[in-house]
Amino acid sequence: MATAALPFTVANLEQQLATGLVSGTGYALVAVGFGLIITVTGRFHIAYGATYALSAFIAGQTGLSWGMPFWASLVFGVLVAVVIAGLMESLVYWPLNRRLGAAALMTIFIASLGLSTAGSNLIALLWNGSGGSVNISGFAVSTVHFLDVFTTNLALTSFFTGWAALLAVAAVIRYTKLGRMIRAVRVNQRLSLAMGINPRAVFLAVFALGTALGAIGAVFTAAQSTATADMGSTPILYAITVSFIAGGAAPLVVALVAVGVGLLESLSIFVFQPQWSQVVVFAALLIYVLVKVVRENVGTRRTVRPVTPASTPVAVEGVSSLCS
Amino acid sequence: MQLTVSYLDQILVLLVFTVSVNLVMGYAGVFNAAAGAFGAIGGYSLVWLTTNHGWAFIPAMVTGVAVTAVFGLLVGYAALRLQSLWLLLLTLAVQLVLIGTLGGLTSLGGSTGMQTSGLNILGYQLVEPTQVLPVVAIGSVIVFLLCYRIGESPYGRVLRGIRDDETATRSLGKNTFSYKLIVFTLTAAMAGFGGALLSADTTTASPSLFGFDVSIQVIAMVIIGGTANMWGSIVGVTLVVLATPFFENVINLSTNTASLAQGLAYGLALVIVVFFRPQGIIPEGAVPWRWRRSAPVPATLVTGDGTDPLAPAHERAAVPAPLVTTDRAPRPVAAGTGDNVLEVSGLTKSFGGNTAVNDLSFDLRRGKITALIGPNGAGKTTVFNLITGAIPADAGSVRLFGQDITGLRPDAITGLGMTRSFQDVRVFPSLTVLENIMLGIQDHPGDEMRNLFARPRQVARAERAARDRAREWLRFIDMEPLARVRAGSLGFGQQKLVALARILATDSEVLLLDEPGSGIDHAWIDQMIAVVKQVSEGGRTVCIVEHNLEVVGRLADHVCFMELGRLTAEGGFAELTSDPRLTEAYFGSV
Repeated sequence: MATAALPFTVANLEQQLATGLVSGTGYALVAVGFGLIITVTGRFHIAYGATYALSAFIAGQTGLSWGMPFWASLVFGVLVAVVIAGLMESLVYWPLNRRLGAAALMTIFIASLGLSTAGSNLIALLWNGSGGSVNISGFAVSTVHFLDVFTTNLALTSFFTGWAALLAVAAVIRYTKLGRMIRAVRVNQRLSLAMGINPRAVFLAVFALGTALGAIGAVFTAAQSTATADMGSTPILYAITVSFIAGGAAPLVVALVAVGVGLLESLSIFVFQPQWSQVVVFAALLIYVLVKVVRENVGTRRTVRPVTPASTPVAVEGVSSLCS
Repeated sequence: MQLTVSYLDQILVLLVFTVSVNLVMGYAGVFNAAAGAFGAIGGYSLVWLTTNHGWAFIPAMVTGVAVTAVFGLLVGYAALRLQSLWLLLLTLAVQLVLIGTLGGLTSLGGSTGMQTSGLNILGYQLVEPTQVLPVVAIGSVIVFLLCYRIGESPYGRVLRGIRDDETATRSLGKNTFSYKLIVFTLTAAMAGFGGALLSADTTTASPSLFGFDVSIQVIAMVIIGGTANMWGSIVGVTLVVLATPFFENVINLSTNTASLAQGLAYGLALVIVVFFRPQGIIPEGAVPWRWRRSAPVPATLVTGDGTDPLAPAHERAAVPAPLVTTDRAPRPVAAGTGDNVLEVSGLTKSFGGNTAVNDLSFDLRRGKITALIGPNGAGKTTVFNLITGAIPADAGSVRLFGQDITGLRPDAITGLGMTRSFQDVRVFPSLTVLENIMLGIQDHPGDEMRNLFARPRQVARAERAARDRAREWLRFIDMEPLARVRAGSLGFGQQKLVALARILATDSEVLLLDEPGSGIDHAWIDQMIAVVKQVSEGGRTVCIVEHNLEVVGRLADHVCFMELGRLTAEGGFAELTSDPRLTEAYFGSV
């Protein structure tokens, strides 16, 4: 189990760092997108994985059927995913939230679970004829070599595009009126409403931004391998991990944590066989939650003290010293 | 034939998972995303021990179940202290790490898992689906009966109380963490048993057999069938499992397409159920042959004396019911404390830089009604939270009947004879009015799981007695005709009376009532006051926090005035309300 799959050399380290940065950027897109949705709207939108896969399939199909160039396919795939996510919010989550109020969290999660299951199976059904997968064409892939790192222009493009999208979303949230509205709704939805901000419109904008980020990552991921109906499963679990570890921090902090997860996954190959890389990431989540349990309970745990008889000198002294 | 039996096997095996998840999630409200992982421990243990170590089927299965129980206990011990979202996250992480680990171990077959052959129980071969059927049928019936017995018992009532409102359940003397931990561990063991049956049925133990998808599918079966209803689980499992052969044989889809269509169907069904029938196909409390247990709130009800119990007391001609007497003898107060049943000394609590309660001391005298009054933010409710153990004090002590109860858990304090009500009522909305009050009754043998199976007759007798006693309390508050109505459907004033009857049913000698008169109209206030007075005349000690000075004036023998966490005056109501400074502090300057 603990046999390293890759010997530790500088060349291997450089290669793994590069791989981790590229995959981490993909995770950052998903984590920031998912995290934005859960922190602003409070929706545990696990169906994010389904819209993630859908965007890749749509991009692949438009390239295949209509001969769309890569970038146009990407935009089209993103737009379709954004529309579907908006429909989920408008037709399912918002009405449930309005009906159940504070008790809606788990119900919305269950509804989202249903949408996720239905969505991924629907995608697999729709593309059943092509074996349940689609390749994304239109990008002339070539090998790139720098330092001791071998990569592709597609991987580098995904890295830079991903960070451009992340920085753009961070800038929108930090510097624009929409960003201020998002931050206001996140802090206090009711007060925002009193200030003339429409939370429903803000929620839709957040779903659009969050879904678009993931969809960009999905199209590049599929372009580097292939689009499958369950391709959203692992990224959504990683996104959940990162979102909770980052604890609702600013988007760029969430992105950096996600890159850390990508690096952790990539560098774990120096310690473990490749099949353990995902376990390492989920173990990090498990450890994080367990540490939270310990931290929350060590400080506040009250022991059941034995009942002492009345007016014992010790007890009275204790009270006196506390009162003095 | 073999295929039909194979589906039946599948239904029975998944039923084990579903009823166990229903018990922990539907009844106790504990969301567990790790059912698949718990099943994996049972399944892998069975296959590994029988195949690699030549163990017999039954010892291998028992070992697997025991290991799962220990694992469940450890996970539950950590997870059950968390809020629902974090609990979900922790069980999700457990699921992913465990299945990932099993899939990574080459000694356990890696991602393809392990195969077994020639499983047998005392020579009885388990090869064909027809051979497996009796084993899974017996196993699933046993687990179903166990879960049904627990769920539909006094123990299950406590679990449902925890699900509806854990704080309120704890205030009624139930150690909620212990209940949740026991049921979590037990249902983990059941999932381990289900995993062993699944491995016996499929002759494999693999990561995909117990993956996250399986956990989701089981949750879907519970929700579609009906949460907190074991019959619903049968319906849920049957519908989800039989969807595949339906698509395959009736719609004529290929095997692969039918499987995808099944996933699509149950995903959509989950959304539809959550939207249009959140209680599931068979709702909580219903049985297939008697659809509704809980009655709706009637438009009007006419009692034997021709009065309408839905109307406030002053509109009725009903004679007040006699006070229900307690069987308990009054608790002796330790020597040197006079007639004080509760002594609070130097109680202090800060939240950050804000000192909510500051060096507060006061006593409650036996059989008297004491009121804590003061402006908003004076710290009155915080005092209740501190003396009942809901939040820990920074300093000071609380003595009940002369015994130091500082730092005890709320349920332990209730056990010692002091119970509280809540400003926001906190009835258990999905329980009936009668069940709400039965939850308050202490020392019910059915509150312990072992008694459900070891002393069923004693539990049944105690349950009848508890029901009769709860009805007495309902008569006392004049709401007996509403016994079978769900408490959540009552009006606010009625809920307040139910909450009061619930804490009266605990037989606690000291009652802390948080704003009993708030949010209810004048007519209901009259009834509330009559009830509280009668309780006090019966010898119980009452402390109320109340903003309505009319209520305070009509009820209180003694009044304590609080300002900014401190006790600044005490005495009779007339004495305090004639003090201009206190009047100004309460109402502000005009």
